[in-house]
Order: sequence, then C-alpha cells, then structure tokens
Amino acid sequence: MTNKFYFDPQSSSTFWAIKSKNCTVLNLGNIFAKIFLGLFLLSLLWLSLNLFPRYNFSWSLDYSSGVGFALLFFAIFLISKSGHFFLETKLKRLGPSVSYLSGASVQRINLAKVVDYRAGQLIVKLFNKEKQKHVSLISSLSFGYSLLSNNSLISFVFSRAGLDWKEVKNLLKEERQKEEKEEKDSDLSLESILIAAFQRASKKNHQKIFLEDLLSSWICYDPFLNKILLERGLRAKDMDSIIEWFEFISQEIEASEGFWKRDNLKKIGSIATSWAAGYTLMLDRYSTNWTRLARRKGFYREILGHQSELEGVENILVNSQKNNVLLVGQPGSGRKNILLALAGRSFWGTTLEALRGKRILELNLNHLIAQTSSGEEVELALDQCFQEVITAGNVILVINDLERFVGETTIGTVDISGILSKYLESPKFQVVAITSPRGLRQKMEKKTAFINLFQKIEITPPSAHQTLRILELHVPRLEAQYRKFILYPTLKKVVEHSARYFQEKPFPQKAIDLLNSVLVYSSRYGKGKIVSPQYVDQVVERKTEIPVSQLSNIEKDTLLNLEGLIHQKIINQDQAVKKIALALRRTRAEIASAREKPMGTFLFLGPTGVGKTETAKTLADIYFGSRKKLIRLDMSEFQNPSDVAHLIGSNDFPGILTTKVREDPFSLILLDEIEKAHPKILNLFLTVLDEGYLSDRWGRKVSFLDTIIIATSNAGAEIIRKNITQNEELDLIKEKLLNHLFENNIFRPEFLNRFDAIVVFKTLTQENLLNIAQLLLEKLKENLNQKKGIELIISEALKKKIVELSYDPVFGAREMKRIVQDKVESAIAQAFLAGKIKRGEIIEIDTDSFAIKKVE
Amino acid sequence: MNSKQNIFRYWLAWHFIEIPRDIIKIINNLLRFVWSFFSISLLLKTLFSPWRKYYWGYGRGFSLKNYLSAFSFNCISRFLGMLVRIGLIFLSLIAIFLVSGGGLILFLAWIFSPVIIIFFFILAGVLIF
Repeated sequence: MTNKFYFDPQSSSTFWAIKSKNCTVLNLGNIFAKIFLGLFLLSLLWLSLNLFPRYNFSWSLDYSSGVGFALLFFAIFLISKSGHFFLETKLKRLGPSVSYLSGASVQRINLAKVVDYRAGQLIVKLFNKEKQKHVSLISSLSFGYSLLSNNSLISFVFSRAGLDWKEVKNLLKEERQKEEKEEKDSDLSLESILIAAFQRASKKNHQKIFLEDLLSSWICYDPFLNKILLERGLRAKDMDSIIEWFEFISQEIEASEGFWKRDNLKKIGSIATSWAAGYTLMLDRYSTNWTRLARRKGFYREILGHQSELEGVENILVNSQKNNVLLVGQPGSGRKNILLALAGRSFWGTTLEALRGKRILELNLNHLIAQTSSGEEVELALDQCFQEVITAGNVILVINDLERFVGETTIGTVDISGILSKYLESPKFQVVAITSPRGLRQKMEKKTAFINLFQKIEITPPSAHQTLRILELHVPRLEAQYRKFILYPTLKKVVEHSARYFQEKPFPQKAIDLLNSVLVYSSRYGKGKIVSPQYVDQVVERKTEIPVSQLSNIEKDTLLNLEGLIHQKIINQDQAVKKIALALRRTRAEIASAREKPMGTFLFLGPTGVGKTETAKTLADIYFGSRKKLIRLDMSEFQNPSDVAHLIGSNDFPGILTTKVREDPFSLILLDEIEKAHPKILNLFLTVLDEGYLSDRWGRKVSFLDTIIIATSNAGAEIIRKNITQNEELDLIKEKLLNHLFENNIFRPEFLNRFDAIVVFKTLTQENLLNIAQLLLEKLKENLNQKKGIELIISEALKKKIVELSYDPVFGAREMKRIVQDKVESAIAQAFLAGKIKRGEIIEIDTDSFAIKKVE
Repeated sequence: MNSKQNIFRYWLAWHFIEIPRDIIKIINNLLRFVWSFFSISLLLKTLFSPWRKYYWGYGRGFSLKNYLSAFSFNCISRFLGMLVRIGLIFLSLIAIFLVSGGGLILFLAWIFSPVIIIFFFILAGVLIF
C-alpha cells in the first residue's frame, strides 16, 4: 500500500509557491494595502481641507503634488491588494485536486502535489526545524508538536474536547525529549500520517489535504496522544467527530460569505409572488404561517436526517394524481422540521418549480372549534377555509394530529374526514397531514377510502450520529442563551443517555430536551462557564432515579454486601442470592458494558412458598430502592396467543409490559409462574432475554437494558421435594429437573439457555421455617416499637407455634405471613384498642390461646 | 523556465481568463436575482389577471345589470393589476440596466486595471515632479 505513495516537494507547485520569494512579498500585500489605503484616505482628507482657504495644511506642498501623492498611494494600494488577491485565489490553490490523483491509481502518487498551502507551510517549517528533507524521517511526535499552535482549528478541537492544547504540547515535548535521550526510534512517521490524511481527504471529497485531515490522521494514529486521550476519557473517534464539527462550521461560514453567490442572493427572497394569489382572510384567522416562521429562522442549507423524506413530500405535492401527503411519525421525531424546511425551500425558491412561492399554512383546528358554537358552524368555517386554499392557489395546507379529527371524536374535536375528502381529490388542493403510527392504526386505518386519498411517508427518527450533528447545530444558540460553553463529551453523553433512559420520546427531541435541562441545571447548580458531562449524569439521575454516574461509596457498599443485605430478608437459598449479586456487581462495575442484554436474567425453579417471589421483591427494594420498581406479571393470565396484545399493546389499550418499561426502564420484572404462559408468549421473551429489547404494537423499540428479569416457576417442584428429602446434591437435582422440563415440553431448551442463570430453590427445612418466623416477628416487633412504643418478646415457643400452624408441604412458608397477621397482629390490635396494653409496656404472646400477657 | 516566468504565466491566466470568468458569473447571478426578486416571469404571465384574484362572479341566470356591474368590476380589477405589475416591471428593467451597466464597468475596469495603474503612476509622477 505504501509503495503507491511518495512525497517529493520539488515537483509540487504548492511547495514552489511556499518557497518562492515572490509569494513572501505577495503575502505582505495585505499589510501594504492597508497602509496605502490609509495614506490615500489621509491625502484625500488633506486635499478636501485645502479646498477651503481658511485652513492652511499645505506644509509647503502644492495642491497638484497632493493629488499626485493621492494617486500614487491609490496605485500602490491597488497593486498590493491585487497581489494579495492573486496569492489567495491562485497561488495558494495550485496543483491537482485529491480526487484527480485518486483517479490515477495506476500511477504512484506524489502526495506533495495535493497538500494544501497551510499544510505545506507547516511541513516546510518542520523540514527547516528538524533539518530533514524526508517525511519518513520526521517522527509523529515532532509533527504533532509543530501542529499544535494557536489557530482556530486547534483551539476549537481541543477546547470542545475539554483539553488544553498547550498542556498536550508540553507532554509531547517531554515525551520527545525522553525518546531522544533513550535514542528510541519512533514507530510512526509523518509519511504514514500523510498517507492516512490523503485517504481521509479522498473519502471526504476534499480538494486538497487540509490541516484538518492531517490533524485527524495524527490523532488517529499517534500512540502517545491516544494514551493522553484515554487518560482523559476521550477516544480518537471523538476528536475526529469534533474535527468534522469544525469542518461543518467552516463550510457554513464559507458558504455564507460573498453576497453575490447564487445561494446567498436567494436568501433575499422575492416580491410580487403573492400578487398572483388570492386573499385567504378566513384561513389567515385560523392558521399558523410556517413560511413566515421559516423566514424568521433563517436559511438552512440542509435538513439533517430527513433529506429523503423531504424530497418525498415535494415529489408527492407536485404529483397531479394524488398530491396529498400523510406524514406518519412519532411526535418529536422531526415531522414539523420537515415542513419548516419545505417552507424555507419554497420561500427561497430552492424547491421544485411547482412549489416555489407556496405558503405553508397550518390549520389550527383547536382554535377554529373553540371559536365556533356548533358542528354546523365548524363545517361552514372549514368549507370556507378549504375554498380559500383553492382560490388562493399558493397554499399548502398542514393539518397536525389528523387522527384527533377523524372517526370517533371526543370533546373539543370534530370529524373532518367527510368535508376534507371532498377537497382532497382536487389537484388544486394540497394537504400535508401529520399523524403518529398509533393514531394511524387506531383511528384511520378503518377509513380506507379516506386514507387512500393520501400518499403516506413514514418518518424514521434520526440516528444517534445524526442527532449529535443536530445538537451541534443548536449549540451556538444555546450557548448564547445560557452563557455557557458546552463540551463535546457533554453532547455525546446527552445523546447516549437520552437513547437509553428516555424511551418515551424519539430522537432528536429527547436529546434536545435533555440538553436544555442540563443547561438549566448547570446554570442553577454549576460552577463556572463549562458544561461538563457530569451534569448530564446528575440530570438523568434526578429525572429517572437510575444511578448512571460513577458508583457512589454507598452504592459500592450495597453492591459488595448485596448477599448479606438480601439474606437479612431471605432465609437460605445461598446459590440464588450469590448469582444475583454477581450479575449486578458485573453490570454496575461496567465490566459487561458491551453486553446488549438486560442487567440480569434469572429463572427461579422451586416449590411454592420457598422465597422465589420474596427474593425478587427484596432485590427490588435493596437495589432499585423501592418495591414500586417491581413490575409483576402473573403469567397464568397469558394462556392464549391473543394475550400478546396485552403485553405489547393494541389499538384499544396500551401494553402492560412495554408501557411500564418505557415509563420506568430501571425496574425489576417478575414473571410469576412462567410455565403457565402460552409458548407464543414465551417466544416473545426470546428477543428480550437475548437482545434486551421488545418492539411494541407500533414498532417502537422498548429497551430492557436497565432491567433485571426474574421468571419463577414451580414446574417439577415434586422432583425437588423428593430429591431434597433424599439429600441429593443441588446440581444433580437441577439436572433431573431440567430433563423433566424438556421431556414434558414445559420449556424449550432455547428458552432456558437464554437466562443468565437457572437457580433451583430448595424446599425449606424446619430450621429455615423457624428463621422465617423470626424474620416476620422481628418486623412486627420493630413496627410496634416505633409506632406504639410497645416491646414484643419473641419466644421460641411462639415461633414453633407459628411454624406448626402455617407449614404445609405444598405451600411452603406462604401461609406464614397470614398466620402472623391473623393470630399475632390481630390479638395485639384487639388488646391495644381495649386499652389492655399501653405505651412503654412489654408484652408476650401466649402460644396456646394467642392472648397478650404483660411482662413486668 | 525560471520562477519569475512561471509566476507571470500564472498571473496572465488568472488576470485575463479566470477572474473575468468569475466576474461574468457574478453578473449572471445578479441578473438572475433581479429576475426572481421582481418575479418578472410571474408578472408577465399574470399581467392581465385580476388583482389578487379578486373578481365578481356573473351568477346564475342572465341579468344585464348584474352582468354589466360584474364585468365592469372585473375590468377594473384586471386594469389595476396590470397597472401595478407594469410599474414593477419598469422598476425591474431599471435594476437590470444598473446591474448590467455596473457589471460591464467592473469587467472593463478589471481587464484594463494594469494599464490604469500604470497610468496612475505616470500621472502621479507628472503631478509630483
């Protein structure tokens, strides 16, 4: 590969121009131009003052000499200015372009020919400094050291990354000195960087190898710099992204320069286009003018992420057969941005011929309905508005949330499909209606004839990368508004966190909202002007209650002592508790960051009443902070294939599972008695367990990455019970149990294999039961002490009595809670109400009659 | 060829071919802008149309009085539209003339700028000495 390239500055016109003495003189042209323009203006002033005889500024110079000097200064100014102009527009652009050389792949490529003037200047400077004339002999460190200087590119890239380029430069210097001392040869030379820069320039269709290409390649390949970046939590990819951001801004600035450019002249718009159109008096009352809005917002060169959708809208609108568009997308996915771009293009004449000069008006149906008193009046007003659209001839009508005004209506809405259908068939009537996928399926799909009058365009939300670019567009406005400086890692974190933790809204809206919240937060609580990524963590934590930031000491302690904490509430079941604790430690320590699965997935097998559900509840309490974070599904309610709709939603109701997880992605999902669910329902969980997401009825992906999924089953409980009594090893019991499950087709192997762990819960021994009784009574004792100031004595006899009353070989310890409630709690309550016990007293329970005894 | 010859060759191509080409491009852009700013095509196409499409319908059936009043109103509307449009077309013609004239002056001034500068130097020399 490297043989294809070489670097010979001797045959490069760029390097000839840099070294040429003429160019050095021309480079000074701008300074000369300024000086002589000043002198020319001063001489003009002198001449004009000398027109009045009152003032005598002649300084023994006659008037004609003064004119002569003015002419001389002006002539020198013209020469200097034109020389500088010649340097900038011709000499600095000499030589072939990158694309020209890329095409000539059969020949060996002289990279010196396609180096840009500024990049060439840097290389010449480096040649002189290092006393080397060959790029392969200049180390990457020396190159980087020279590259880092005070210019707009370096300042922008390093400051947005949150780095101080001077500090990096010093580190490079130290490393270079170290290498020189050790007489170590650098692995990477300027030649390799130039080759990489050429490839980047070629990929990005650059005319030349610019400084941006060299910087990006150096950052990408220099191992020492990469080490520095890694230590600061950055990657070469991030720096390249910031360079792209800089390139985008530079292009925008360059494009906006020069009023005579065709695009810039278009920004001025035109007069008289509306003279050929009719008045829309009624429509103007009930509509929002998007064209005016687009004019106010200014001229956008491109619409990010929805280019093809915008072109689709334009193509449909000029179609003579069916020229009505139905935009289907989630609110916040950029639906209105497409219309704003259409309004801009239409106003500035950059759209298709037939759409130029059109006004985009959004019909404000809510306002219209509120202003009218009856359905008949609404119809009349609508009829007049639609009539005006046709007579005006320059209106594209926008109807937002169309689903609200079609089919069955609620208070404050009317069904406009009838009156609208009449006009939709007319080629003079152009409508862009907006709806959501849900609205389309719920309300409009039934109205086939009405829907057929539209051509549908589905709006897919922009990707994470496109969203990042959209946020970059918002940065100047937000920074001016909040007087803050937003770092690139902050933007990146905003995109990452909004993708993961805010599933309700689509991109880009959720990222824009989060960035706004972060700026508000940093204005209120932040110190200094810089908005760092930590603020994003803090805002997300506040909004979602998910611990997204670095582990706090308290959380670290919780994770390290998780087994102990669970065992405070769960008796026995060591293996189950250990496996859960291991999974959580792995996830929170971000060891398993590449894992695109839920935090942990477990199948608990065991007889009823051994603590399977209680373990899940306890975990929700300890790890997620509240039992409210438990999403419990009784799987016996999903015994038919049609029950899938209950989980993922249908036209009539939202999905139990998908909606809850979208609203609160940091939850524990408990699938109780999973063996009772229909196999088709189990298939639905295959994607969740394997890839960590589930698509709802409307095709929206719901992420399960921050959930723990626990499925419980008592299938084969008899085998556990039998083998435990025979003192069999737990692993052997598990094997037998799994064989039983497969043989009886209770679960398929591919389903079971998707769990992180299958945990067998042992049947409870007498001792375990006594401990559970102790736990329950301890809880009651604590409650009594706190609320009533009464001390309860827990005796061995009481525990034994409760175990005796509640133990059932089939239901395990399930009845124990009820027995404690019925016998102990009820007895205490009765005694308390009857005034038999008071605050500060110590009581005991009689195990035969459950009567309260005071202890003196 | 030495460096001085080389740079002179570049300058000749730049001064007499590249920049004049750019100036023509700029004049072309400005003329197109004037054309679209004043919406000249549209004004010509709709020269005799009623002002803002404002016209009276003739109604059903025939009544001479109604017919005449609608006809006269529509004629006035069309006449007013034509008057305003012609006014604007006239303004746009002035703008086109200014852009073309200005462009031509700029073009010639650029082409002859070396001669003009030399002339300035000679004149300055004569005036000073």
